[in-house]
Amino acid sequence: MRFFQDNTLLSKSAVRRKRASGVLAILGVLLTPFACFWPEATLPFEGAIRSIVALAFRPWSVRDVVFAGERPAASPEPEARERALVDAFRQTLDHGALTGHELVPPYLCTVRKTEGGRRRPTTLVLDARASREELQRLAGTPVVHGEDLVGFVMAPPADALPKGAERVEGVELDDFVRVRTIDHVPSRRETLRGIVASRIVAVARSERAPEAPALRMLVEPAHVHDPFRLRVVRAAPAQLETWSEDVAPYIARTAKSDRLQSLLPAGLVLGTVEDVGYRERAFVLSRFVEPRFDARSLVRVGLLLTGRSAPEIRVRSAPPRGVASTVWSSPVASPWRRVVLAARNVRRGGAVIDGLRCLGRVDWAGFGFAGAVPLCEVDARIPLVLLRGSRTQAVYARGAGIVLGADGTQYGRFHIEHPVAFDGGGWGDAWVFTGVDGENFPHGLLCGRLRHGEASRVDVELFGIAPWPPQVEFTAGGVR
Amino acid sequence: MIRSWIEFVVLVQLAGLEIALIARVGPELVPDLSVLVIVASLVARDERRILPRFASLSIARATFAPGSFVYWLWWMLAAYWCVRPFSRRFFPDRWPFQAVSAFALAALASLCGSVVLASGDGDPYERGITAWIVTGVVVPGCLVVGSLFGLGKRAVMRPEVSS
Repeated sequence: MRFFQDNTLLSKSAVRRKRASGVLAILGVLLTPFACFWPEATLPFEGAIRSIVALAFRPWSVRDVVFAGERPAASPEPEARERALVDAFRQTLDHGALTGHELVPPYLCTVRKTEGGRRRPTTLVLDARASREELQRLAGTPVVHGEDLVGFVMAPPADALPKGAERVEGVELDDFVRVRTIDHVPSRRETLRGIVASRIVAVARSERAPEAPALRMLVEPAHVHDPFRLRVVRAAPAQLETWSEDVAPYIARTAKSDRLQSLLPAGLVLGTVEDVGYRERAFVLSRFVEPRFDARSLVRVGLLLTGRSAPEIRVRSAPPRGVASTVWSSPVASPWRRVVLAARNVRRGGAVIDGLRCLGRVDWAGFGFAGAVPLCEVDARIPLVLLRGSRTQAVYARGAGIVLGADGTQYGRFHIEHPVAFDGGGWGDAWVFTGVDGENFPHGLLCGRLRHGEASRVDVELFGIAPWPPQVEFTAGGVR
Repeated sequence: MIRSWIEFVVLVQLAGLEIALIARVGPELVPDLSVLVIVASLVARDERRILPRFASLSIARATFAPGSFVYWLWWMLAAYWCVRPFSRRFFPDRWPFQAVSAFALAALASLCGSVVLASGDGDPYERGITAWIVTGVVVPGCLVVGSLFGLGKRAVMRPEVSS
């Protein structure tokens, strides 16, 4: 017998029960804000506990963990994937727009990752290293994606050793080639170092009515709080209606200017002209340009080396891969897909691959077990590239789970967050590839085929929804 | 400790079985396992074991189905605290009242769970009215079977308060 706080005589077990009841209540209150505002939160030790769950569910899978990695990996031929990507990219180049430069093919580089804000990154890190002198020589080189101007190669920082740089044989200093996109607004520190926002001379013409008057303008990066990514500083004529149905959209392209941009070819697309004003009175208050690319979705970009020799760039090898065994997979008819894998050295955020195809990505990992989910996981963001014929479109998509088609087929549903005015109806039967999502997530892998699309929603027949083979590959991965 | 581990393994297997049944039979006819566990905890009234039990089922669900561990644990705790005040009159000696109240509370708890999930990105379990009713029907049946194994023994005992 023991006395409790209110002098009630209770047994030892009753006291413990009362304490447990209090702990339950406190825990419930503490978890409420997380459950309401951050329901997808994962705890740091969750991977280890989930591996215990996997072991309790399939105890015999411990054998797969012990022998994981001893089986030979399937040969996915990464070179074939690279070749297919390069060919597809070359087809999308509008050589007519690059007047006078079509004889100089762009030097294609793979995007390794993006830097800057998560929602609006403005620096691309290319999967290529170059010496300090070479980077200095490449500085200011225009970088394109298709016929869109993406940005310019950055000059190496003069003072400190940049992140990712390394010394080779103790002498040479190497760094990744970085590209600053055209919508980059210099930070205060950059302004103090003398870096200013790049201004571009452009000409906008109506795509629908070529005879409509052209709009000459000077464009610079817009402020973060502006509705679009580029703003027009000067325009001539100042009042020109661009939003009527007869002429819209106006497409802004770079213009020739020996004084301001001697290295920049004319005809590269900056984006669509977006005006803000009074529509009924055709009065323009302010004028913006919205680029057609999203830095998070770019897979390969081209360096326009006009009048320069080929750069001395070293390309990094593909990220390491491993082999995993499928321990458990949710039934095919279930309205979601979860797979438990047995593998060594697998980390959260990596991709699960079946040869050339991307099946899903690693959601958790610990103690030799890992869980994988399809790309269309609810609320998961993933950059994708659509390829239909010779047309490509990079999109930034948000997963919306698995939906059932009229014929009983399961599709992965995505909501397209970028571009905002994306029309999925024109992309039926397009092949869907992965975009760039961190440096270790492989891009350019085939994910599936777009079957239905409407407005900003697409249904994709994902390979990851079909039953997975007993053995799959994975990339090393990194935290999302 | 050993009992908690056995419960953990059993709940993990049950969570896997629930998913297999949803895929085979369809979500409309599969009872809500979390509601079964909540009602079983109400019957047992041993609150020291509730947290490991709920955590076991939450982590199993987070591993095999959509939804995070934090979300599932919160949902089970919230449902438990909502139903707990009814538990004294929930299991008196009269079995018809016991069955009806168990049916009503179980169906209501399952319905609330679906509504909470549907208000977000949609209920991944896709339960409907049939599933809520099945949950309500299965829970009293499980109580009867559980009482045969002594599950509800504590419930009919008086509180351990001595004067």
